[in-house]
Amino acid sequence: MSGVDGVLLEVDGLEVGYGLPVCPPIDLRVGAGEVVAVIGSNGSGKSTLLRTVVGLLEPLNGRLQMFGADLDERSTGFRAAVAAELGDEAFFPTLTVREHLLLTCYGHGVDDPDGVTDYQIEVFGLTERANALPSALSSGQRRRLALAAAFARPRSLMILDEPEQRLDATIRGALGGWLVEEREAGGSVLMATHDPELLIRTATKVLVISDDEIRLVGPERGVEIIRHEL
Amino acid sequence: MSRPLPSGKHIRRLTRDATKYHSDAQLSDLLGNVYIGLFTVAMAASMIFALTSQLAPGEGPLRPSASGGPGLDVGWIAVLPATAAVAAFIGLVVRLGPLSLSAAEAGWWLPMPVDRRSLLLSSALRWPAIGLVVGALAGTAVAFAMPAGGLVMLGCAAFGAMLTVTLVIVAGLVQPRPEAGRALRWTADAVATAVPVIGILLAVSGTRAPQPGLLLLPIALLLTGAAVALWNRWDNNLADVQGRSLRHHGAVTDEALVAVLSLDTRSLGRALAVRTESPQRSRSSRMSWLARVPRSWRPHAALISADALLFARTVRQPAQVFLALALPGIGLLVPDPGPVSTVAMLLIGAYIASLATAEGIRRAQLSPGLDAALPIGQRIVRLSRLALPATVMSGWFLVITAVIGWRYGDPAAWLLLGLLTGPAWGAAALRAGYRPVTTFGGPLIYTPMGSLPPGLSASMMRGPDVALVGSVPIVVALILGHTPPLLFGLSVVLTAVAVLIALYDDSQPTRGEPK
Repeated sequence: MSGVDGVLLEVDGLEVGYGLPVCPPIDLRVGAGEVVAVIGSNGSGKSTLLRTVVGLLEPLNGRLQMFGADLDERSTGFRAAVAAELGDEAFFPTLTVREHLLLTCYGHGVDDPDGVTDYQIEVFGLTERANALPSALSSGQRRRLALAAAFARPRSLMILDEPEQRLDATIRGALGGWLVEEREAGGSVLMATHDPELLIRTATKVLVISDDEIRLVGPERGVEIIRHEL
Repeated sequence: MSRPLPSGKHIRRLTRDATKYHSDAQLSDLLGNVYIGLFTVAMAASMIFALTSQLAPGEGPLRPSASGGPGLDVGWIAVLPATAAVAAFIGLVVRLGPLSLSAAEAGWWLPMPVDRRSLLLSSALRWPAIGLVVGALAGTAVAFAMPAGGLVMLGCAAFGAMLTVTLVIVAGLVQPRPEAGRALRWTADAVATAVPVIGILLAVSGTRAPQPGLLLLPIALLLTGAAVALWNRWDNNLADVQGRSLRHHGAVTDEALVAVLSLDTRSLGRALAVRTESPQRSRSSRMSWLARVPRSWRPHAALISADALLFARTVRQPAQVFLALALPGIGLLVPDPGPVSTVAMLLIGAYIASLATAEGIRRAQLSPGLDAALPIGQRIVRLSRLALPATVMSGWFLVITAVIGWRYGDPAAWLLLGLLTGPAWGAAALRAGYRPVTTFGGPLIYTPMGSLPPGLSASMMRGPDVALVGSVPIVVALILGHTPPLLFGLSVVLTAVAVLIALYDDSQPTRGEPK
């Protein structure tokens, strides 16, 4: 599913915030096969932008189009195409790891729910915890479960908020690989990150959010900004 | 890589079945350790019965003794609370959605491309079903108070039920439009808060309550037709509600549910409050009065000041204490207030008021770091934290016993009894504030209202138990209609017992073991 000229997400003069804008207006386009990293200091508005793009917050101003139409998270097309993991830590207290993933697969019409669930459990290193309830998982394991659910379902656009947070080095490295695979398969990713290694490995362009300006830079410049300016 | 999408109903059922599979705790486990509460109630009831029999031999335990005074028609005693209950219920429904999903439901269900109507249908049915019961109970209470015949009672119940259901559905229809929802919430709140004032005006003017007639039956039928038509419209528009509205109201509902299960009206108030105020004050207090307190007493004074500032700056809390006066106050305005209704309203009103005095204690229990950092012992910390609730509740009882003294005579004796009872309720607030935190980390019990932790009742009884014991003398006095001297001594002893229990209650939080 893609919009006009392969543009999945198009943002013009978008103001985001809670009553008042938290950053200057944003212009951005995310095309098929692009990984856009959003960087900025704490509180700069990265998460607020992502929450607005997935419909959790109402835009304060500007234009926000997804797949060539105004954003409407209620539409079936939007829900089928956008996989978001924003670190919200909301789990069913009485469903196991496996059941969470199976539920996701069934709900998205995945052809082989058991097979996909088993695969995601294995690659995210959750095999030993497959039958554990969320309360018995560590913070990092819960993050793995949430990311596994995003990767278990069909999607055109992934929206991730600092996906590297709370992951150990092994899974963080693997995550970079999966995002590269996503990009090479024509999928798109919009993610906030503080991790220069994840950024340089995966991103095709970088959106820098600061108090006084919004700018697009290349991945190398993005890494410099993370290392020396934030 | 795709198979036909399931329905929203199917997803809901899948989740419920998995939840039930892992819930081995029983519904009865919710009532774990309730025997402590039952023992307290039985002990208090035995003391009341023994004392009334001893102090008024041969006169029977329930002797009405006040007459004259203002005349609030008895019918209003049912009509006004019923109106307030329905209005408060509608205000609650608007705050909670009525359509909402818990954080987990929103996080895992809403991103699925399944049909939202069938996904949300059972959530939509929940509040009209509860409204049906609330409205029917309110209508039946009015019919009982009048009193009315069988058919009229049926009309009252049906009218109350269908009016409430219709209003709930209207709240659902306006949910996608925040301005309309706000207007409905304000109207409901205004009606609920106007009830005490209307009660006083009706008492002063001596207006009689209208008698319910058979006309209520056809009106109820008309309301049923309206409710069905509005329901069809709502049902067709269920998928129009924004996901962020479902999430927001779900978060409020989750917080409110936990507060209700813990009988914690402070948390409930926080959950239901529509936050419009700035999180920043124009300036900070210098607390200069603390400098005038001897150095060794400053930790105690700081704790008392902190509790007092918190109480005074949260407008809802003094307002709750004030409004809680209305319940027994209105009860005492009827021409001949019976002891049973007076005692019931006094205890309920005192309970509501006492809850508003323990915000500081509750916060200290949840975040004990500050208390632990003070150079004073835990008992002294608790004693200092008792100051605010004991003072406020003594003041509350002074006002109520002044009204009682005016109706029953001998106001000085009633005032003294009130002054002695207040600290027991302060101790109850202290004990309730330091009760263990309910945790959802262990095995849960599946109920129609969600998954709940076992042993809630034990937590709920902590606080009301000592209040009940401390209230025995004033309850006996209300039943007798006068204040025998023995009750003053007994009140001193029981209040001291209540305070000691609250100070030396060392219960630790109980946490369930994971399955």
